[in-house]
Amino acid sequence: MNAALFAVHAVGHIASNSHEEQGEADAIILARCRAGEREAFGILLNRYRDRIINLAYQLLGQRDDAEDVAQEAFAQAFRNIATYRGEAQFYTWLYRITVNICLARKRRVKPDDSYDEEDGNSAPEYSGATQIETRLAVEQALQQISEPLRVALVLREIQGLSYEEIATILHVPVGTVRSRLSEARRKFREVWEKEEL
Amino acid sequence: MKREPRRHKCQQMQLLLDEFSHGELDAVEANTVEAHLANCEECRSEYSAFTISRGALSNYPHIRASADFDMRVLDQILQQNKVTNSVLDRLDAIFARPLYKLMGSAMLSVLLGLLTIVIIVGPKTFLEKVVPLSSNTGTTTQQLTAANPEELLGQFFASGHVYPEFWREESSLPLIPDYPVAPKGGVPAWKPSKESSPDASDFSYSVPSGSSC
Repeated sequence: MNAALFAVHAVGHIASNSHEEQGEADAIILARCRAGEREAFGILLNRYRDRIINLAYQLLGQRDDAEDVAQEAFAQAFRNIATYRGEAQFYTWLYRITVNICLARKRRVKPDDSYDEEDGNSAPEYSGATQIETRLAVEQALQQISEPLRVALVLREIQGLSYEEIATILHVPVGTVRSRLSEARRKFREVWEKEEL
Repeated sequence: MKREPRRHKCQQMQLLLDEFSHGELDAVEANTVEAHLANCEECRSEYSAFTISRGALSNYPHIRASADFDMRVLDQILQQNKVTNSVLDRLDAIFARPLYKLMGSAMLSVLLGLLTIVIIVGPKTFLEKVVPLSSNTGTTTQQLTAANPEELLGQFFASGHVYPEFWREESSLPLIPDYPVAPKGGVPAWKPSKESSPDASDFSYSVPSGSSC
């Protein structure tokens, strides 16, 4: 294994355990990244890893694809970190990269391949029969909503972002976010109530 | 008539249900929504359905990254840097060839030489040497006549004397051969000879011309 890789990874984990790292603003860490500190990028990676993987998973519905997308998103973010102007929060920018990669990947995949329940690689780990059923139902219901509505719903209800943040990520006005969410909830409710029955 | 304002009120409240459920409304708006929900069965039903779907979505499975995820990301970043560096290395290899080095050195020497000359003689003089204003064909006198100073100047410029103000005193080292020499006593100042509009004779001026005009 590359010693440099191991060192960066180790530093990232050590930094993640320190209380100082928790309080350090993203802006300061980004400045260190631009200065060439790979350890600083390790901190950002550790901080947003789970959120980005889960965002990709919520949009794509498959675990392996989610990790591939998240890996590409972090690589793109590192590659373009010099061009990040700081107009929006770093995680908003990272979310935008992730959403764009997910949407591009979706366009390359045929519709009937987008969700395969029988694919063992895509199933997350569940516990409890009822929980499994509920979660499967939610996944299926979400995948039946059209893409723009699903993205808005995931960002709002699962990722917990504000209307302004969602508007920034999707490059649409706040009014469009409101209308998409309203429509997404209505459609989700229809599908969900059908599933429940 | 009374139904419409109430319908409109319900629509307004339902728009706020999302932010209300997230706790994003200020105290006044939150109280307004609460009060409306207490009195409107339709909106209460809507809010109930809203919270059910929100609850369902909160059950969306949460996955954890695989153990080697960070390593794969850092590996990809390093590979990206290697690709960039290999392109730079190739360019470096090309320009490291002796021929390119020689050409580069020669061009640099020429540029440095030109820069030195410009610094020594001055940019104006350098440009005058580089851009010849006239060829040496002997001197002739051209009579310029004009009805007014502006027209005279126009004729003067048209005659090929680009820098009329840059008269130089006679010198043993003419920088530009046949460049018009200032007449003895200097350039006559323009002054109207009459109060009324001057005629052409007031503005005639002889300019030795060393080139075709």
